[in-house]
Amino acid sequence: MESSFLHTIVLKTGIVHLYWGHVVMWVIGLAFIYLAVKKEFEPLLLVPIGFGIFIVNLPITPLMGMTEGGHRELINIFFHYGLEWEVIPPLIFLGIGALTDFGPLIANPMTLLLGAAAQFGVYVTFFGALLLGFKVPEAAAIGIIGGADGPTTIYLTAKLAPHLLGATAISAYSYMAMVPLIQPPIMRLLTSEKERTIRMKQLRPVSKMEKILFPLIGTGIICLLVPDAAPLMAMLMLGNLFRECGVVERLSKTAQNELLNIVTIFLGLSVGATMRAETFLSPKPVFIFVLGLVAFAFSTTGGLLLAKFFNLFLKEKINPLIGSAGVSAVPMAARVTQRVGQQADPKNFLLMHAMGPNVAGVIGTATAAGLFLTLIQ
Amino acid sequence: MHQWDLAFRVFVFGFFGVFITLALLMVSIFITGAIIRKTTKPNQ
Repeated sequence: MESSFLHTIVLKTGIVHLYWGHVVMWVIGLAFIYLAVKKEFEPLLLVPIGFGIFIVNLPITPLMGMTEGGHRELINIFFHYGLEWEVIPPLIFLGIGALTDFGPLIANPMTLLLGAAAQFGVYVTFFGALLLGFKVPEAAAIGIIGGADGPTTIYLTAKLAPHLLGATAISAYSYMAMVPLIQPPIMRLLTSEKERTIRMKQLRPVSKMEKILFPLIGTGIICLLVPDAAPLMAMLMLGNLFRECGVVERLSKTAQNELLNIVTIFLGLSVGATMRAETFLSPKPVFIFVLGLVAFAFSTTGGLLLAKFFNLFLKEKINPLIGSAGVSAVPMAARVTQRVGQQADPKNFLLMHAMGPNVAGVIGTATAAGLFLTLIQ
Repeated sequence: MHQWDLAFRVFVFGFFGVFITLALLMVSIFITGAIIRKTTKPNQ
């Protein structure tokens, strides 16, 4: 009697349900936490993601499944209402909009085309994923990693290929953290020393009226042409309107700080919790990681080559390095442009020029995601 | 085969769609900027 009771108790612990896959996932989760704490790679995301991976791979924990009564368990609730209901990525975009100064883009609107060209990697990778045997919706979710935009990647994957959410999100954020390592060799390979020293004319000042009108015009045009991009674009531009209109400072600060921080916690935890050993340990995530790197490389190349192409026709040349900032990773990609530019000419200041294509990349990736939804769904 | 047909369409309409959308936004910004600068010039 007692031994049977003891047997039941033992069966209810996680220890007897452990298998090697769980341990592998603990190592992955703890590695993310290590990278966040020790190397400061995207710590705001990698800490909750790493912890999420760790806890859902503790066997039989009531976190990501359903209760006997048919209710969702704790993190499953965050995942369902946050990601499956598409709430969190648009809220993150609201915060990003409130944090973003579109002034450099408004001062030099041509940089929007550099942001569009930097979506090249998205489509190259889309085909790469198809060649590796992924289905069209899965390939789109993998391709969008090349936009270097975490919330957009999550938004699109949750809609088209939710089973790949953990892998695409981790891949996007990992490579975003590694932009300073991935981009410079490509930038140096595709530009000459002379091109890297090109100095650009100072940007014109942008009036307050232009900054207020931009989110309204941006929302109108993009949402009219690509309605599926509306949840992301509308929230991005609303956040920006909060910032620029100057009369709702409280809302702007809330969107930039408290709200963004709160949704980041739920985003990280939910994404990490999708990475269960039973589903994650397969060749697919490895392919997705490799394809993510391809996507980043081609996106960098796309922006850079279009900038060089522009220079064939422009009287006042642009520094082609700013094209590589067309990948969204804001502001890291622009900082990388500044750094690589200053290695060639220490007195060349490209940061503000690179911010134009950088924020254009955010708009470009959200538009690309909307177009994927329009064309595939 | 069907998958590749769809993929090709997604590529053509997707990639060029991004360009066209952002190009239209670019033109709108140019126009808006020009109008604002013209209308807010000091009286001459």
